[in-house]
Amino acid sequence: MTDEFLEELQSSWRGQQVAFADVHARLRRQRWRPHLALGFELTVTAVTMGVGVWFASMAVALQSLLFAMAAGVLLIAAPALAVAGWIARKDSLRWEEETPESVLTSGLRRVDASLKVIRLGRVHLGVIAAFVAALWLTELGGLISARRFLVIYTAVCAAMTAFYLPWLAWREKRLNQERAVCQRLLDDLRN
Amino acid sequence: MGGNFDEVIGEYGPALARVAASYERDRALREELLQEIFMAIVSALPRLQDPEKLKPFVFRIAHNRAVRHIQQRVREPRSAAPTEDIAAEAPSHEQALIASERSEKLLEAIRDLTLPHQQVITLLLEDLTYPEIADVLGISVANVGIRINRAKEQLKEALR
Repeated sequence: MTDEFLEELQSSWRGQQVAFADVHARLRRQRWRPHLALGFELTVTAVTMGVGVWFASMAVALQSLLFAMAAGVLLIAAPALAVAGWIARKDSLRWEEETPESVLTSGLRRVDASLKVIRLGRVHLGVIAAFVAALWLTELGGLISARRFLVIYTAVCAAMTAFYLPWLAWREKRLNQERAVCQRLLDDLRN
Repeated sequence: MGGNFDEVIGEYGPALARVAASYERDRALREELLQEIFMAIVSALPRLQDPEKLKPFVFRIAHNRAVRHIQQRVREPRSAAPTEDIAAEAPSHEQALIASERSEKLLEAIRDLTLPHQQVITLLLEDLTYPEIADVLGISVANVGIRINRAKEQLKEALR
């Protein structure tokens, strides 16, 4: 059974002038980049571990606790970060195993996680503000004497907050928009 | 794998570009989406176990990546760019221009469909069978049929 309407649609659909050669060529040129990034990551890990081993030898030679702690941090952090990076890449979305619905569901989860992080960011700012207030109270109460330091510290915290709060609000707005799009598409798929 | 990828793009490149166009009006964003689709295929290709299923495999990746693209598009400021100038890309013959206009009208109508209808109709227009479409979208064959009928009705209405 022929469907004339569908055939007409197909003819118009195939009649599109598509330009994909440029994108293909660009991709071919850029295909070495992931290998370069991996090579860079491995080099950084190796160098960091080398420095860690050197710090460890210095710690033994100088009987230095500071060198020992630095060596411990480097020797633990470098491979841990490399492994975390590898796991993150391995667990990144596998497009061929997903469905449109699962892409949106995981997108929604990601957006919700980001919104929680933003709320946490505001809590952090509140904690810093409370800490600064407590420092001023102890200064004014005569328990500590560090007025010049406190002025500089307060100015730095205020500047950081002045930048950070609007950025959080902007990011939250974008995420809420993204969430709404995600939810609408999911509703479309489920209805 | 390199040659394999080039063969896949050679075979499916135009179809993937049409899929990208059905999701994205803006030319720059469309090219970006197409590149993302190609990259997702590059990284997934070694995991393809059954070469017979290459077609649904490629289209599944394309549609999933495109869905993610429209979900994240709000992060980028939307350009108020008018409908894409496909005609400008075409050879400057009158017939080609008319064909381009018809294609563009169809593309606009498809972009206005809801996501489920948009997906089934573009896959159908790329000659995928009902079971292949069901495989790509993770839905039942019966559901594919229902969606296709609704999509065709809406397109008839829009293109009248």
